[in-house]
Order: sequence, then structure tokens, then C-alpha cells
Amino acid sequence: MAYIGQAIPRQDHLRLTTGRGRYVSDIVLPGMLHLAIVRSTRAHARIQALDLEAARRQPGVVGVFGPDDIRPVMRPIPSSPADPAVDAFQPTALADGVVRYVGEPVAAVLAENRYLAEDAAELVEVTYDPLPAVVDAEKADELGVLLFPGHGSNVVAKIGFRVGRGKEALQEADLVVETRLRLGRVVAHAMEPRAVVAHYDPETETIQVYAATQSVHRFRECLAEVLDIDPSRLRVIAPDVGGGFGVKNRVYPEDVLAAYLSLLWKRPVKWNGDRREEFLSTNQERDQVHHAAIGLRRDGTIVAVYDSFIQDNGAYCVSGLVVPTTTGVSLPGPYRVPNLEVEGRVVVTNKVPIAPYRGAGRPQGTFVMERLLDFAADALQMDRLEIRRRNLIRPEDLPYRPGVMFRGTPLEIQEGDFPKLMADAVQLADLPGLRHEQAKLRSEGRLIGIGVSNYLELSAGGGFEGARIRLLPDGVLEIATGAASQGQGHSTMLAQIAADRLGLPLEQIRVVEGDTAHIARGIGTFGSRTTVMAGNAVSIASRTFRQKVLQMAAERLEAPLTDLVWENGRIYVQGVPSRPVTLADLAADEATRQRLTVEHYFHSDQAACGMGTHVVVIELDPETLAIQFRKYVIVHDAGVVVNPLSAEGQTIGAAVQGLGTALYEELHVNLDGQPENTSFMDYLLPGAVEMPDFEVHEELFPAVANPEGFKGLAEGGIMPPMSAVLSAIEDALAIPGLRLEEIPVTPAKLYSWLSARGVRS
Amino acid sequence: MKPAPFAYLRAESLEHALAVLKEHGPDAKVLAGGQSLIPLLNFRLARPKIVLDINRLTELATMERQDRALVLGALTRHRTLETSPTIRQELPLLAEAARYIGHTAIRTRGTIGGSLAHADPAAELGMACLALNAELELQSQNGSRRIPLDEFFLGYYVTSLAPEELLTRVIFPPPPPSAGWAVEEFALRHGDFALAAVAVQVVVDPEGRIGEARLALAGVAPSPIRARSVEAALLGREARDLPEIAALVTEDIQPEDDIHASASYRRELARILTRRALLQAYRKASERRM
Repeated sequence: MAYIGQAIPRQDHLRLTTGRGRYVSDIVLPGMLHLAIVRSTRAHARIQALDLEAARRQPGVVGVFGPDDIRPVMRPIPSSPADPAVDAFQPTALADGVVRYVGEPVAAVLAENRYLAEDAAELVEVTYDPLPAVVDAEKADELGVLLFPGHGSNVVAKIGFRVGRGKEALQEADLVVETRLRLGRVVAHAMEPRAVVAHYDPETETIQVYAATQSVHRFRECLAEVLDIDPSRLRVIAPDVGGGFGVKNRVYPEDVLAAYLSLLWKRPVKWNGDRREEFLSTNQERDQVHHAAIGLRRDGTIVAVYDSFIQDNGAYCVSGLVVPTTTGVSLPGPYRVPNLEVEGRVVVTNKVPIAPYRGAGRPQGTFVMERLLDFAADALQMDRLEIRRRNLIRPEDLPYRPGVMFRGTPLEIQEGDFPKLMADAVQLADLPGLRHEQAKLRSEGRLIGIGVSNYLELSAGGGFEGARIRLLPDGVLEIATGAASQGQGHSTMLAQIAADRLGLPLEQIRVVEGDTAHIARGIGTFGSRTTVMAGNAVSIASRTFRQKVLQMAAERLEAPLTDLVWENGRIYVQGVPSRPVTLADLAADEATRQRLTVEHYFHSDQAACGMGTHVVVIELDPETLAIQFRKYVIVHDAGVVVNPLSAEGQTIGAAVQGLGTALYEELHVNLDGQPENTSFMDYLLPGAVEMPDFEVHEELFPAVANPEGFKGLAEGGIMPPMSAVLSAIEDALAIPGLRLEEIPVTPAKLYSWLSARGVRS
Repeated sequence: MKPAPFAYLRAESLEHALAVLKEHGPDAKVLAGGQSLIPLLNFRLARPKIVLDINRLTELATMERQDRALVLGALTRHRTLETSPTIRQELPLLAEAARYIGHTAIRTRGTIGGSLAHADPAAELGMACLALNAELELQSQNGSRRIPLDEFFLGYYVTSLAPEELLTRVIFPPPPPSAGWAVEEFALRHGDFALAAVAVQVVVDPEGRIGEARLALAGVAPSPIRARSVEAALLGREARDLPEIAALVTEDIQPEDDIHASASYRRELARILTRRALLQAYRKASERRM
């Protein structure tokens, strides 16, 4: 029996796609009040006065709150993960005297419904004493304006490391190629905006919080800290969550407000973010400028890579230094880089705070490395594929230690065949055929371009995740985990693992997620860790559970363990199948059920490493410069795949978001710090029509780093599309020396770059 | 994303609607398909005291013939423009232009009267109706007037519709029997507002010379606009002249920079799309004549 590896449709798909999901916005409790947030209209200003009186007099308004009204919870919301280096740069539930980005909560209105709350919110009068906005991270301190005057600079942190002799080794190279690369600011945009409902129960003196979060346990700990109550007084439930992508992985000001006001008012309080608030207040990402250099021998071998970059971090450091750190760690990717040096400066600006969005630095590091290789190949007049062949880590190099630390542990690449994967991708895409077609169409005036990029996805690594298995009275096994799903189909995936390791039919297993009451501890879903961490926890807990059941059966049947046969949860003595002990028999007895409960926490510091290659073919309209996809081939090492449908979905979904970042998405912020495209009319998320038909091929090199051999694969797909597409556009244009060094690339930008070069009038 | 308070009135008859507009004109907004109005309300960018819903006025959802003209009620949905056999047969340019509007859900609700009255600079229907030489019927309690669409658009979201008036019908004269037509649009994504769009209708004489031309653009001026320099230059000219004449379009338009594209890129697009549309329309006209 093997459920692992089977393309089983996820158990919740029909429910979710037919409108029967239950999201936070669907939760309606008796007497529930609604919160609307008054948000800063200024990027940077002192708040001179806050007049709440007119709003307080509005019909249906229960209360209007400024920082002075919620002093007991006006402590900094801790960074997640905690990082003492950035403790001084954390937000409070409401801006306290100074606003630092457009959209920052300034006051809160509690009313009988959201309409009335918003009507009243309009009447809150905020008097701003404007300060100059810091919007250009490259000129962080040039204005002489500090976001945190106590710190003395807008550069709030630095990250960096050196492998080998670092940038010094560039001197030994035959050739050094330098580039300045810029990645635009993007917004994650889960389908479901952030939302929270908090409900205080005076009898138990607990607050029950329904939150659209990726991590119920860490949410509970963080919220308890801000509220200054014991975590046991909070129960956090993530019902169905409609996408997270990293930005629903922490406590936001609205969560604190809802919880605290429910405590004050002893009534349920709901805040349901709308799309505009997603743009104005949910963490954003990318927004980096890199000055990078690669040194090579004449044969294309990498001697050294040096990258100095700036992270425009927005107004606060709500997620420690995860994004800049992961950027640096991801830089060498699947290549042998003997000397590497990375220096990142983290700059606070008057924009929405940065926090991990799918990839969390992995796409950035990949973008830099892959662009460096393309430009280096051009400088060496070498094929862009060939330079990759010459530098990929080879099977004989394994285990390979790139010399970088990932989540506090030295990274070790233990398995895989990177040259084979790239060769397979190129072959599946039929590169010779593509080149032939390209030449033929070029003679007809049509521009076809081919781009290839590689990546190394680092998943999981660090911390733990748990599984708690108990037998329900009806003989069904319930498996609880702290790593909740935001639509990934975890429950099906985990059930497949459990079914195999228990030797039970899939139907007999029920996975429950997203409730601190179900399992004591948990870390959550992010960093492509759930299959690896929760998956192995479920696997181990399942084996333990099975062992316990067998022991109990042995007692009841008065037979040695070795004589027992396990058949779909029926246990009998070899040769006597007519007298089994069944799970249903055991479930009938409360005490037995109690004894059978198993809780296991799987700890691992070892990241799983999966390499992959993307091949993209585009057609460029030589006049309008419109970019259309013709082909997109993905080959990746997925380790042991639990559910190929989910794996392919993850990979395609990530690639779509990568292509959005490459060609469509950018949040524009003007010189005053005002965001300029805060609706889907002007912020261009690509739709299905814009996207290619992806061909995805998995190759299976089981991870040595964990018992089941799983690899996370939620972020690999988003890593190489940017560089692959830019490479393809350059290939189509075939203009010597043309380098595309920023994303997104749009037809209008291409036009202006080409005009500046005199290629276009 | 909740609208400011407003009173909702449902028009029970055209007379009722006109009476409401007479009384509340400047304070009222007419709700037809709602595809522009509802977002504006939710963003609190529009704050009418009264929202007057005309969706029950079946007399405005008609398709009739007056003499040889096809007359569409203001409530005709984009989806009807796109799919109606009559419109596809008689006004294929209009059907084609409608395909470019948003997505199916939007086209199912959106109306021709709503689109014209909203006067978005990038609206495909304004452009198509200009190319088709449409006229509008505007009604108020004082009576009814007919004006050419050329006189309707005054600037960014501004029209000559008076506060007490309701746009009730759009009148399309029959295109010349051998007219060729084309619609070309460039948008960043499927269904987006056009960075530039062109609609053209031409008649070609037996010698291959253009006898009549109407060309309109969207997205490159404060409102959908006719390219009169191009139209004038086309008269008497042939296929080989079209690329050169297309370049004249830049004299007829006033594109602006925004976050999506520079004015110069939009000018370039207008030139490219005009040439493509002219060549296509010319070819169709030549084929129809044969």
C-alpha cells in the first residue's frame, strides 16, 4: 500500500471551490462589533493632534481609540522571528506620535457594523506636522531625516558573510563582470485579505481569536506578549485561510486592537481587511538594489562573487533580518563558488514594512547569481548554458559545503545530479529545435528568445513541528499539527503519509490544523517546511501509534507481538483472522483511547536542498515590445513527492508569482512616500491568460537530511523566472551589450531603454 | 471599502427616472451596470446623495430599427454587443470592440449607456461609437434631444449630458455597404484599460483609393477621440500610403505619462496600432468590394 506518491485530489478542494469554506470573514458571533482603522495619509509626520470627538458622537459607534486609549497594549509588537538586533524598530498597535508610512494605523473605530465604523473613521481629525519622507533607500541618510532618531542612521542593520577569501579573490580572476540590479517592491496578495475575530469569554477568562494566520502558536505567543497575559489565556484558531505566502505569519496591529478591544468591551470584535488595506498595510517584499561582481577564469570557471546590496526595509523590521539574510545565503545556488562575500545594508524607509513573501530572499539571491552568469558568459563570448555547465556542483562534489550558514546551521548539499537536471530540462524543451525555429522566424522579422536559469531551493531547516494522533470514538484517527494550511492541501498530504506509515486506508484518517487547542506546540507554515517538518513528525508519530496499538492488541489477544498481523487496522494472530482486535474495538474504551494518544515533535536543523532548471521561450513583438510566452519547461528535484498534484500546483503557482514579479508587478511609491497603485486596476497581477502552459517534470533525489526524504518545494518555482525571462528577452532582442538589470520589465520600460540607446526613435 | 451613505431609488419607469433627475440631478448618480460606479462608491471617490437604479427600465434594454439605423437602448449590455447576431452582422466593429472590455463578468453587467456617460478616456465603446458615427438620444422632462457623439465628450470624465438628462439610446447609422473596419488595442493584461486603442472604418473605391474614413482612438487623450488629421489625409490615398499616414496620428492625440507608460510610448503605440488597423480595414474593404 502506498499513498505517498499518488496524485490524490485534495480532500478539501470541492468544499473550497464551491464556496463552502469557512474563513474568518464568515465568522459571525452574537453581539459582534466591527473595527475600522483610521490610517495615516502621510508617509512621515508627527501627529500634532488627534480629535476623536466627532467620530465618537456618530450613531452606532461604541468607541473610538487613539494611542492614549489603549496604553496598556502600546508596547512594540515583537519581530517574528525574534531578533534583538532590530528590537528598536518595531511598530505599536497605533502610531505613537509619529507615523512612518501611508497606511499605518492611527486610530481605531469600533461600531455596530463596518459601514458605520467607516463613516465615523472619516470624522477622525488627524493634524499632521509633516516630515520629509525617506523613500530612496540608496540615499538613506542624505535627507538628514531619521525614522528612528535614537539610532542615528536609517541604516538599521547590516548582514554579511565571507566564504574563502571573499571579494579579495576577485583580483585573481582573468575577468571581472559587474552589474547593478534592482528588484521592484511587490505585494503578496493572498486571495483572502488579512482578518481577525477576537472573542473574550468572561467565564474562562480566555480570548478566543480566529485569525487568518500561518502560525497559530507563534501568533498566540506574540499576541500574549503584547497583551501581557499568559499564552494559556489565548486560544488561536486559523479556520480556512485563503493564501498566506509569508505575509500572514505574524501579529499585526489590527490583531492587537481586536483582541484588546474584545477584552475591554466583552464583546466579539471583528476586523476584516479589505483589498485597499492589503495594499496599505500588509507586509511587502523584494525592493532591493544590488551591486554585484563576478570574477572568472577565461574558461568560465567562477573565481569569486561579491554582492553588496541594499534592502529597502520599509518602516519597521517586523521579521527580523530574514529577507536580507536569506538573500545572501541563496546567492551561490547550485554553483561552486569558492570565494564569496555578501554585504547587505538594511535601510528603513517611509513605506510598508518588508517581511518574507514567498521565497523570502531566495528569488533575490537567485536573480543576482543568474544575471551575473549571463553577463559573464556574454563577456567571455561563451554560451549562457555552457557557463552554467562549467560551474554547477557535480555529483562527485557531494556532499558539498558552500560555506554559508542557513538558519544557523552550515549548509550541506548531500544529494542530487545538477548537471543532469539542467541537461534534462534543455532536452525536454528541445533546445536545438528551438534555436532552429528561432532563426527561421527571425528571418521573417519575428523575435523569439530563449532563457535558462537554475536555482537551489533551500527548504525547512531549523526548529520543529509536531503531530498529535488520537483515536476518536468512531475508530477514526485524528492527526493534529501546528503547521496549518492556507490552501496548500496539507491535510491530504499529511493523511497520505499517515496512512502509509500506519497501514490504514486514507478514509480512516482525519487531519485537523490551525488550532492551539489541538496540539500544545507548533511553529507554523512558512519556508517550505511543512512537508519536511510536519510530514516527518506525522510519519514518526504514526509508527509509534501503530506500535502502541500492536502492543495493546498483543495484550488482548495474549499473543507475542511477532505473531501479530496488521491488516488495515485489524490485528489478529497469524492464521486466526476471524478473531481480530480492531481500531473500533480499542476506540470503544475511553481509557484505551487516552493511552493511545501519541504526540511527537520532529526537530531538524538540516535544510533539504532541491535543484531545478527553468527554460522559457518568449516572443517579443518588434514594434510594440509586447512579451508573450511560447513555452515554459520546469525540471526540478522534488525529493520524495507525497502528492504529485499538490507538488505541481505549488511549482506552477510559484512560477506564476515569479513571472508576475518579472513582468507585471510593482508597487509604485512616489517621492512623498505615497503609494500610487493601490488597487488591482493599477497593480498588475498577471492572470491565467498572461501565463504560459507550464510543463513540469519532477526528478526524485530523496533528501538525506530527513528520514522520509522529503523536500519543500513551495518556493523553488518563484526563484528563477525573473532571470530566465530577462535572459530570454535579451536573447530575442539580440542587441550586443544590452543588459536588463531591473524588474519588472514592461514593454513601456523596454521602449524607453531602447530609445535611450538610439535603437528606437 | 464601504460606500458613504446614500439613498437608493429604483426607477419604476422612464418618467419616474426623469422626474428624479429633474429634482435631484446634481446629487444623483445613475446606476446602470455599476462597473465603474460601484468601485467609485466603495472607494468613497463618488458620494452621491441618491443612487438611481435604472436596471428595471426594460424600455432601455431594446434593440430597434429606425429607418435604416440600428438603435440600441442605453441598458444594452456589453455582452449583448459582443454576441448578438444582429450586431455582429451589421456593426461588427462594435462587437469586436466590446470583446476588449474587461472580462466576461464585467461585460455581462456593463452597459453601453453607462460606458458612454462615464466617459473614461480609455473606453473602447466611446472609441467604437465615434468610428461608427453614432448619435445619442438624451432625455429629460423637458423633452428629448439627439446629438452626434462627436459633441458629447468634453474632457476627462466630462460630457455634455446635463444633470437632469438621461442617456437613453445610441443610434448607429448603417455603415457604408462596402466599408472595411478594424479594432486594434494594446493593454498590459487581458481585459485591462487600453494603453492605446484604435477603431477604424474605411471605404475604398474601385481604383483602390480611400473614399471615406473614420478613425478613433482610446487611451491617448482626455476622452475617446477622433483622429481628424489622419481621416483627412486618408482621402484618395492607397494601401502603400497607409504607414506614412498612420504616423500623422500623433498630431491628433494628447497622451500623458503615468505609472504604466510614458506619453512617448503611447504615441508610438498609437502609430503602430493605427497602421495595423488601417491596413486591416483597407484589406477588408477591398475584399468586400470584390
